[in-house]
Amino acid sequence: MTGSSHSKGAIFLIEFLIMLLVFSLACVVALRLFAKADELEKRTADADCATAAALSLSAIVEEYYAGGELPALVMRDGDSFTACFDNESALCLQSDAVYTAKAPLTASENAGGLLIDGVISVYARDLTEAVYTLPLCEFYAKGAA
Amino acid sequence: MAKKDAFSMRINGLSILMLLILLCITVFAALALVSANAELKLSQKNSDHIADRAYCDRDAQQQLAALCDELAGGTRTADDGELITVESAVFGNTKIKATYIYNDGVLTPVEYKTVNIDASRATGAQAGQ
Repeated sequence: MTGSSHSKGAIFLIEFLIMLLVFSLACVVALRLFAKADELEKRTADADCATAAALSLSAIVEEYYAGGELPALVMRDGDSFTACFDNESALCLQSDAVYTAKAPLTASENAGGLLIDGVISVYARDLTEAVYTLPLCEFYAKGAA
Repeated sequence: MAKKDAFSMRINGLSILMLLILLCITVFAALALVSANAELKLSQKNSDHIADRAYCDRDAQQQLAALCDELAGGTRTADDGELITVESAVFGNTKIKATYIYNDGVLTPVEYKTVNIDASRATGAQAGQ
């Protein structure tokens, strides 16, 4: 009777340990999958944010050359523009910047009008290589409204 | 009979519940990964399309600048009311087709559309924007 009870206890323990092992393994696999998914989502958000920053600076510069005003947070040095963006792609101060968009443009005037040309590069904080580049070219014809 | 009882696997309610929980966690994790991967691909595709369109736009704007320069310099002439079309080079699957009307020395845009090359090949029509 005691032997049978011992045997049952041992089998229960083995069964319990096997279940624990399977549960742990499955949890490790699931956790790794969740972690990878989280990493991919962060990369997606970063890519979207960089694209939005480039588009935003592009629109600001086009509006400026069309006669609009330059927002106070956009720095201008001749035909070069620099703007800092936070993680929601909104203009911000340099100290709060997650992305910095730089647009070194060239303005050339011919008989027909003014041509603004260049490439907007978006840099992430602590990175020297651009994460996204977007060409910007706009022609403002003479006499056009 | 006693031996058979001792080594038989006991599948009780708790085991089934645990297995179900495990299955749910794993399925949700796999779905989260697939969804995140699809979102990343879509985002990259969108960024590429925006860049392609910007390259097409740059090409079209440069052609327009050259055209306006020629018209202003007198090396090219146009009649009032004449429609002038500018077509950019193809970047990715995209090109831009812009039509302007010439009046009193000024080109005014009439139509500015993005053409998807694949869509136009597939349907035989221009998928404009």
